[in-house]
Amino acid sequence: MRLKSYLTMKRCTLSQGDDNFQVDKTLRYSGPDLPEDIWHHIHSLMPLRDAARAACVSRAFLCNWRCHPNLIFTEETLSLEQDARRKGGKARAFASKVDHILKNHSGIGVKRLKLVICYSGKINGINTPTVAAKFLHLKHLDICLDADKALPPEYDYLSLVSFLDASPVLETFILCVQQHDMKHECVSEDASHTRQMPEHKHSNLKNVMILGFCTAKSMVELTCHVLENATSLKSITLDTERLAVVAGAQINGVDAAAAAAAAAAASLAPCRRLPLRRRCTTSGDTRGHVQPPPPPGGAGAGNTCGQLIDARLTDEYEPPTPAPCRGGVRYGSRASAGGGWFRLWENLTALQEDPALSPCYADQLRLVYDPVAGDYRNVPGVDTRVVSFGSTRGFRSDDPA
Amino acid sequence: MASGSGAAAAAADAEEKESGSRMITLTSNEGKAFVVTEASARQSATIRSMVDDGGCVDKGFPLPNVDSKTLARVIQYSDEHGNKEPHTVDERAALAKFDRDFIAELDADKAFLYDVTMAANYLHIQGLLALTTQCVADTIKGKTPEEIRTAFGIEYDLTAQDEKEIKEEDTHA
Repeated sequence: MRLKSYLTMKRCTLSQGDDNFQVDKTLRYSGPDLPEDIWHHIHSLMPLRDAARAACVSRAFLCNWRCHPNLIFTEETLSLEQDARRKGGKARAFASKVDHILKNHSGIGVKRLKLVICYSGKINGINTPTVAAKFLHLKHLDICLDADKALPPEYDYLSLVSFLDASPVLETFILCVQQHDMKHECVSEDASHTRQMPEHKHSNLKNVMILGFCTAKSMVELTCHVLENATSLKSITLDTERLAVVAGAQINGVDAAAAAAAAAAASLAPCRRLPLRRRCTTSGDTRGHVQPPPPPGGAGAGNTCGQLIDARLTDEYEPPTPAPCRGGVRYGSRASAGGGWFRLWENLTALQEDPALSPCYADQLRLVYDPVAGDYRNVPGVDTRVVSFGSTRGFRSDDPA
Repeated sequence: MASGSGAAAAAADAEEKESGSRMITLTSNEGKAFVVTEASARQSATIRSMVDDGGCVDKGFPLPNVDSKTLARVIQYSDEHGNKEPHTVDERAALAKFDRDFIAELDADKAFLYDVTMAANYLHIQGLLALTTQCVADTIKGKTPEEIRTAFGIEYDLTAQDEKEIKEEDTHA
């Protein structure tokens, strides 16, 4: 009888540009007689730090490391905690290590790539590591940029396009920028100065989220690039929460959130692909920071990027119209048969594409007044819960996928 | 089978197939026969596809790559997961506990753990394979390369070029 291999990946090149060496199938472990593909699977189960360390065991292990599917780079996984001898040393060491790992990685089989880059102190001219490899299977890309004050003004957000170019089947791209101030040059009203990257379609990119969106010129250029080249984009979320904090300091007391959202929308004016209202969900909601979560059922309405709320429909729920409401209006395609939690999410794009969803959405968000208790409750059959209650984690990411 | 009773037998066969109550015989490489329920046998994607393809259910399935001791242990897992579908929270918790105890016992006998891993791979029992490979991965976690080589009897065969590349990455400082 013939068995299909548990894993489809049987071989991988050891490194890019070293075409002479390919690991052949006869490479066997001398110890316990586990086949190569099982070892490969075992290796892929290890966290990055252990997987990297195990690369020094033998050639076969090294080969497995070159195909590791989950590349999650943080200071911790790269053991950089103690590496801060000089200012900017850590960021530089981080960039260099990631650069080398990505250069040597075969790019085969990478499913998830996450970069958490911390900038502290005064650093000049550090950009995100460039990508030499191709990530042919990468579907999920997370990049977090953390600065204790502000990102250096030389940082070029548009350079991240190289990751999109290197990942032809990428579906989800999340960029999270954390800074307390913005030192970048603001986008000017004159669109003629904005740069355009060469046409390169990102035809599989469906969901894009930029947390900590700001009006820095290169950030706007990056966003426009995505809007223009992601041909099957379903949803883009620009979270302007931090922009609102900065704006609030400047305009003192005026509705900072609205101003921030307006600024974000205005900054995208150079983008050729309009109308913006259809493409972008901008939110300037800062409530999550200063107030307890709003009443559960109403959470989705004006709160796309503040506190995250999960909801689920129980058997009690009676939809206003039969079929489409049963599963709830969900983000992306994570629909599953009743009972499961889903993120309450104002998916404007989906709502506009399918007007039939609107009544469902409204119905599920509806609150019912309970005269006995003198309080508002969810519609019977809609359960809600606050994500990461008691911590700030819920503010950082929206898509549970 | 007499030709006259063919139709009746086929009907009975179909009924049995429908209810999933058929018994299936698996034979180890030592010739020992194990009779299991079809639901248990269907945990194995390999056997499942042979049964669905109308394979020789009556004759049973010889498994030339699996010895009796290993097969008995694999069947223990398949019975637990195949014969009862967990519906309640308690049932799921009980099954999770079964898995924990099952793997803890295997973990104590590494050579046997590898035999079971191989059998799970050969028979395509995804859940069991996930359980055993995770166990091996957990064993390797936190070990130095030298310890891993010793533990698994692996020879050091990296070239100078490999070492240079690894040193550049230097993630194991």
